[in-house]
Amino acid sequence: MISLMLRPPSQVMKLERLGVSFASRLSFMRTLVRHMAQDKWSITYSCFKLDKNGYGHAVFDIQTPHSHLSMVIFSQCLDNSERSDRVIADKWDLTMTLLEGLVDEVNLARLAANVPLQEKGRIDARSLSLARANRSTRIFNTVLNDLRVGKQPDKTKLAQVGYLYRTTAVYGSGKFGSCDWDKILKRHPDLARPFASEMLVCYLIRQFSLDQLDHMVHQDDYPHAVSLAPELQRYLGIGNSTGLGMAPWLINHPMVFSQWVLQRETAYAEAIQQSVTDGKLTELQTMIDKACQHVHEINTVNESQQQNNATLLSDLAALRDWINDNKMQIKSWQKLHDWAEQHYSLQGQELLVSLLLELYPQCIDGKEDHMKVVEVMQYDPTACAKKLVDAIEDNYDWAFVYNFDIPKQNQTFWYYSQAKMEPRLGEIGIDEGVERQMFLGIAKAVQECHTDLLAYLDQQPETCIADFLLAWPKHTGIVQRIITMSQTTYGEIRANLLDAKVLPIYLLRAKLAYFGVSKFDPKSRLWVRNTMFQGAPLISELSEEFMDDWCFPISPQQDNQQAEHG
Amino acid sequence: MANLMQMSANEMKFLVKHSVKSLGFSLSDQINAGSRAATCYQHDLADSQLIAAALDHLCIDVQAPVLVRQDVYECCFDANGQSALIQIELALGVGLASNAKQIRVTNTSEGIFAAPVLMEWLSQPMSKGHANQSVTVYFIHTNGTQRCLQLDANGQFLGLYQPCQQIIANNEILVRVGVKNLDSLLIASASDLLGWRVRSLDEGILVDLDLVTRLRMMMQNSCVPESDISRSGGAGPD
Repeated sequence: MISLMLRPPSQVMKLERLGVSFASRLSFMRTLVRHMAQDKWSITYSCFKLDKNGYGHAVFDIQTPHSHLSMVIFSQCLDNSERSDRVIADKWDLTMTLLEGLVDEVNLARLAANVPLQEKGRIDARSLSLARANRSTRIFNTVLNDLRVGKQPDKTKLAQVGYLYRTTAVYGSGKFGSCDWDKILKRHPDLARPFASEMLVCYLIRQFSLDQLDHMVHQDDYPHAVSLAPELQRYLGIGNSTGLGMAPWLINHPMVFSQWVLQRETAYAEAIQQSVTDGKLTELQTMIDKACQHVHEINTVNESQQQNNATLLSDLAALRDWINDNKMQIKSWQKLHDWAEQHYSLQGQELLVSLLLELYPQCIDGKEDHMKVVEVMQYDPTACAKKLVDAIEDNYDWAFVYNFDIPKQNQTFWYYSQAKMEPRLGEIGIDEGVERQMFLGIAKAVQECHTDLLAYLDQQPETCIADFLLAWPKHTGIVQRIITMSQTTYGEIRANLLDAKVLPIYLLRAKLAYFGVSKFDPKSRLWVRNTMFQGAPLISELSEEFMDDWCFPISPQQDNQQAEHG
Repeated sequence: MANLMQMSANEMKFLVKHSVKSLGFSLSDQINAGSRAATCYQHDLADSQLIAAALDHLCIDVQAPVLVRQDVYECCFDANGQSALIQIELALGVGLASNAKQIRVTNTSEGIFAAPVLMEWLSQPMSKGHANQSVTVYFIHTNGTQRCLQLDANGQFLGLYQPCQQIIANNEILVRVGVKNLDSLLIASASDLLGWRVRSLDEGILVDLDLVTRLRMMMQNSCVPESDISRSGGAGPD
C-alpha cells in the first residue's frame, strides 16, 4: 500500500490560503445534487397558490429514499425600503421551512403565523431548517419585464448578477425550535451530511424563484410573454450574502472543519498519485479553459478581489501554456503540483486542487460520507501534564509567532450585539463591549496556558492534567481544545483573529468553498456576496441522464435577439 | 402545556451557555454548563426547576473546588457553594487521577450534573483511574430524596436508583468506583433513560416558560447593547 503524501497543516490551515479556497466535487452542494439524481429523489409541488404578483404560498413535496419531507414557502410584498440583508432585518420577500411529512391545513396555518416572523416566531421539531430570501433589486424586475413582452433577458446582465433571489439566513441545528442535528442523523440518512438540509433549502429556493417568475410572466395581461430559456434558467443560481456569523462558527467547531479539510486533502493526495494520461491532460486543459471563463465572468467592484482574479487568470493562462509545452514530460501530477507551488499564486494553487479533484471522482465519492464528526472536546484528566506541553509544542507552534504585547496584535474583539445576536467586530479602546467578547483568541489562550503550565511543572514535575487545572481552572477550556485538536490531522485554523487587520472574509470564504459557492464578491472585509447552485441541474433535469459537470458555471452562449420559448 | 415551550436540546445548550456567560464565568464553564444542562434534560435527569436552581446557586466568586482531604480511599472537596453545573469536573478529575475509591464533594448542589462529565471521560480510555469498573454518582434530587445514577466502565447508563440507606448529606455529591451492591430501588432503567433521549430528538424538550424568559433575559446580558457605532461594525448592507 502506497502511503499518501498529505499537504501539511502548516501549509493548508493558514488563513491566507483557506481564504482563497474554491468549491470542489466534495462540496456540499455538489454532493447533494449528485445524491438527488443518483437516488432518484422525487420533488414536486403539492401546492402552488400565488397571485399574479407572485404572493401567496407554495409547498414542495420531497420524497427521498428514506424520508418524506415538505418545504413550505411564503411569499409576501416587501417594499424596497424594507429590504435588508442584515440579520437584524425583520421582513423578507420569501420565508420558508423544510419539515417532515405532509403539511395539512392546521400545520399550514401554524407555519403561516410563525415562519414569516423568522427569529420572532417558533417552529417545532418537525422542521429541519428555517430560511428567508430577498429578491435581487438589480435584476428581478428587469427579467420579469423582458419576458412579459416576449424578450429573453440580456445574458450580460444575467451574468453580472447570476440569481433572482438572495438568501440572507438559513438556520438549522435546533434553532428556533427546529430539530437537533442528532435527529437528522438518526431519522434522515439522506440528509445526514453537514449542511445538507440547508443546501436543500437553498436549492429549492432557486427552483421556486424560477417557477414564481414564470408564474408572474404568464398572466392574462401579457399575451406575448415567453418563459425564460432553459439554459438561462440553469445558469441562474441562488444568491447568498454571508456576514460575520460564519466566522465564529468555524472557530467554535474546529473538529468539524478539520474533518472537512482532512477529507479534501486525502482525496487530493490520492488524485495526484493517479497516472497521467493524454486523456486526463486534455480533460484538465478543458477544465482550465472553463475555469478561466468562469473567473472572467465574476463581477466584483472590490479592488483586492479584482486583483486576485486577474492574478488567477494569469496563473491559469501560464498553467495552460506550461502543460502545452511540457505535455510529454508531465509523468506525474505531483510534478504539476510542485510546479504550481513554485510559480503560481495561492489562489492558482488552490484552484488546481479543485481541478485535479474533478478528474478523479473515485477519489471523492467515498469521502462525502466521512465529512461529519462527533463533536466532543475532551481530555483525559489523569494524563501526565507533560503530555499537554508536548501537545502544545508539537501542534500549536504556530500560536507562538504572535506577540500579544504589541497592541495591534490584540486590538480586535468579536461580540454579539443585543440586536438579534448579530456578530460584530469591535476595537479595543474605542468600542464598548470588550468584557463580553467571544472567545476566539486561540493563539493568545494557548500562549497563556503554556506559560502557566511550564511554571507549574517547574514546581510539580510529575503532576497530571487534573492537578494543573485545579490550580489554573481558567485554562480548562483551552486544555480541552488543545488535547482534542492535537488528535486531529489538520488541527486549528492558523490565524490571530484578534489582530487589528484581521480579514473575516477569509474565514467566510473558507467555509463557503466547502458549501460549494462560487462568484465570491467581497463587499467589505466583513461580508461577501456569492452565488449558490449556479449551473446546477433544475429539478426537471434530475431525472435525466445526470452529468455532474456543473462546476465553474459559465454564461450560456446565447444571442440577445428575441427568442421564443415555451 | 400552556406554560411550557418546546425547544431543541441545542437551543437549551445555547441559552444556558450564554446565560452563564452573562454572569462572568469562563468559556469552559459556559460550554460545560450548556452541555450538561442539555444532556441531563434530554435524558429526563433534569427539569426546568433543576436548571433554575442551578442558576440560582452559581457563585461567580468561586473559581474551583478546594481539596480538603485526600487518602487512598477518598478524595474530599469543598465546592464553596458552587452548583455542580460548573467546575465539578475539576474535583472529579483529581479524584480519578488519584485512584481514590470515592470522590466526595461537599457544599454543592444539583449533583446530577456530575454525570455527563463522567459519561464523557469514561467513554474513552484514560491513563489512570477506574480500571474497568462501574461508577456510581450519588446526589440529591430536587424533591430532597437521594438518588444514584450508575454508569458502566464505558460511561453507559446502567440505571437510576433510590438508595435504601442515607449515603450523602443534603449538600453533597459522592462518586463511588466499583460498587458491587447498590442496595437501591430502580427508578429508571438504562433503556428508559435512552428512550427519553430518543423522544427528545423526535419531539424536542419541554421547558417552563418562566425559565425560558429568564434564560433569554440573561442571554441578552451576555451581548453588547445595540448602538449606531456597533451597528456599523456588523456584516451586510442596510
